[in-house]
Amino acid sequence: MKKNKLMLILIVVISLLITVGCWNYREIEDLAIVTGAAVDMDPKTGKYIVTVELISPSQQQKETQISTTTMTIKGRTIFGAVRNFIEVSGKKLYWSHARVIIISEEIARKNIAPVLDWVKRDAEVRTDMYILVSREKTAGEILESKVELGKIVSYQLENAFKSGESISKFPRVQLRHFINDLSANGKSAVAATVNLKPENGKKVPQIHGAAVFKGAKQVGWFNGYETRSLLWLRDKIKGGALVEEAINIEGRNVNTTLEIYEGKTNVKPVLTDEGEIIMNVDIHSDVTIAEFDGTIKPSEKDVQNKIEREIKKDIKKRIKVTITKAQAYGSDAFGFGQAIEREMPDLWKQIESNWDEIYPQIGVKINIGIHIRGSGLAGKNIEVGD
Amino acid sequence: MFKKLKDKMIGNSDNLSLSLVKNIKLFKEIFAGDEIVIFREFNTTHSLKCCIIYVDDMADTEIINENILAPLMNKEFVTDFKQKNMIDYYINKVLLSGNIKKTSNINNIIESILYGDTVLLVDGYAEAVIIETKGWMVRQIEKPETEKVVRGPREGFNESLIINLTLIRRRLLSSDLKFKFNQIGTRTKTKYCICYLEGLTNKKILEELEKRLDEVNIDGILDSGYIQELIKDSPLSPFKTIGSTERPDTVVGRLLEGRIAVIFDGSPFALTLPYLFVENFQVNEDYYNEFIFASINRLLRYLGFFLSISVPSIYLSLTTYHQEMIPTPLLLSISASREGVPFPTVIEAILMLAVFEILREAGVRLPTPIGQTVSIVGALVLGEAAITAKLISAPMLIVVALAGISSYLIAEMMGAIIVARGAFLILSSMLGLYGYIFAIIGLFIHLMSMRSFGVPYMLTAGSLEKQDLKDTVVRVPWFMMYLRPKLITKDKLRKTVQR
Repeated sequence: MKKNKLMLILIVVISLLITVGCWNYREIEDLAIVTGAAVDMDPKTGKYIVTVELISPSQQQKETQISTTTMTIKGRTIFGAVRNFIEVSGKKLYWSHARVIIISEEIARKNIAPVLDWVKRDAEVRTDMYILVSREKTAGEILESKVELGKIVSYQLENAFKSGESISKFPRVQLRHFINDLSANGKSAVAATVNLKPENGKKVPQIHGAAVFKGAKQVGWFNGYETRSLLWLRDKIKGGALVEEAINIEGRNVNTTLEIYEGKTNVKPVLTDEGEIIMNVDIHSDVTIAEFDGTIKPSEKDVQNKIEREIKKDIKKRIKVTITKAQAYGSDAFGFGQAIEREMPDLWKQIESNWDEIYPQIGVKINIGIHIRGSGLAGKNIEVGD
Repeated sequence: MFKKLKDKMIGNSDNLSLSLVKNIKLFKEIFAGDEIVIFREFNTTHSLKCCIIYVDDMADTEIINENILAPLMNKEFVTDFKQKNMIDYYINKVLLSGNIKKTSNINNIIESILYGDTVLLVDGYAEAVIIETKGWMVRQIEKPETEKVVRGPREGFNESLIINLTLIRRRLLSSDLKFKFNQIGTRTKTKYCICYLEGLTNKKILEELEKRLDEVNIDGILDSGYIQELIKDSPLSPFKTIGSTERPDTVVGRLLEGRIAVIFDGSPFALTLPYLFVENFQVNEDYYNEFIFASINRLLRYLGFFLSISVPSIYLSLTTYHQEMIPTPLLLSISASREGVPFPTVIEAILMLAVFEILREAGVRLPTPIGQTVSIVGALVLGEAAITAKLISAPMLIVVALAGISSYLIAEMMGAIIVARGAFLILSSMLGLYGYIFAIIGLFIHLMSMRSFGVPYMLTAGSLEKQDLKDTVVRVPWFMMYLRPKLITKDKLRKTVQR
């Protein structure tokens, strides 16, 4: 009896393993590993053109060589195009290691949401990919620009994002944040932009600036300075970032670079007596002087105060310009709406439906506290002798 | 049925007769055809007919000549022996031997003869004298081959029961140390000895051990391994539930923890019990080295156990089911090295593991000079060439080598590890990490369900009490260890307490 029972269990286990086992078994070398993808639209047919960068690893004797190829496939939907790839290469694309997705300006201006739907839905694609909008004619040509033999364009772009903290000229937006912002009320999405920069006769991709969205449509661009103002307002400027300005001291413009130790931005809406909403922006930052082109000594307290004053003025000016531009676009990229919802939920309920009309008229009060903590290792400037 | 057979084999129910001639004839019949048994007939100084029987070379002829024959044949006895029992007289006054006894049981006599003692038969008496003359050659006490140490005593057991017992006794000069002799094997009649410390040992475990040993029915044992297998709990499990060691210091260490040791004549491996899972990871050197270094080694052994059963299956499930869990650069290099390899990863893994076990088994019993050839052929030719020829991918070779080498950290468990590794590999080849987790759960259910002589095999594994964990994953300093494991021993307190 006991033996029969054991046999029965054994048969059940074995048949279970044989029938349902090995599901999704794939050998690693049969994968076509995607590192990044670019999405364009064929203007004539309206079909999507998906360009993928693939890794084709090979091993000669003991050296491992990793080279990349790009392939272009068309399809009515993104996933359709991705599956059509099998017709060409016989392999299924493997998306778990894709790190960037580049969207063409054309699609971004039209409607970006359908492109992202598959990306969000599919289990294999990761939503911590970085999203970029191409400033070139097509998005595909970014991936096709060969940086160097053996270099992977997508991973180079990813690395730029990873170390982007200390440059603050483009927003480091991952797909999940982008999708969150896209679906949020009271906050518009932004994405970094990429263009090709001529270098030694070749064209290399460069991430610079931001694309500003209103809803699912791109409405405009921000350049590098504007992007930095955007990041100030989004509280994304942290330690390591740089501020470079030409400030007016000693009666001329002196180039000054400040490195930020700590940055903190508070956005608080205030309701005035007249019933107007004013955004109170408090920027506080501890900095150190990284570069100073003047003749006066920045290690002295009064000189530092002077620099602080001038820098504040400059940053304030730039932020004002940026806000005006965004208000003209009608894009609440700074999340002012969310700030109101957070601080004054009752008010937000009243104005939520016509926030689009209120937002461009909203007043902003900027209060900047820059505090210079030191002048680097040098006490005085380089004195040029004879 | 067996009982009948046993009777037939042992069944000499005859008694000694008064006539020496008849007695000699009786023994010559018993030992008919066995020419190594020597019958030496002689007359004492008083012309009393005697005969000694012994086995050539088992008995020390020098002792026989000087301590038995010489006194009996040369010594002038005091007369007036007619009223006396001559056998008692010889025992009391003539024979020079420390261990001497009188018996009329034929089976006892036969056993003594075969065990190297000498039997003296005297005409006119239906009794015999057994004189201890054991004197066969034994191996020197050498360094134990299987359990080498850097720090610690270098003596190992040899094949002689008595010498092994002296090695233990010398380390434990307590009158609490008890030796209980018995024999096992209907034909080999192997002597064994149960050693334990009175007052420390749990009497129930001792009774259980004796019960199991009594129930053993086998014609012969050549090594303690027979018994280890015959009396262990969970007899089909690949895990050991009875420990074995070649080192007297290890035996004494375990006796002091309240365990019991059994030593068999002819085997240099003593059995210790109960044996727990953690003991696989405890090495005697842990207790001789300072505790930090010892704890590091302990941790390494646990890590080695984990690695050697898990690495091939984890590698397999990651590369064939869960490629998204591999960091990208690693994925690329694995992918590159797999390019052009003809076998699926599972087959590759099974093949390489088999090759590793073949090399291990081939190397174990070979003479050292040939053994080196095996390792060169194995490492260079098979490994290097297989990769260059693209038959095997390099990461797989690394994985298999890592798993194989780690298993040497816990050589005690080699068999169990190979079985577990295979099961893990097959499950994860079919179900990926899901299968691996199943295998882990199965392994733990198995380990948790086992017992060794009534003591849970995984004793203290689920405990979070400080005292229980002091000698498990780490070894705490000696001054902090003052309790023994409570289920094993009767007396928990390790440090001496004045009573």
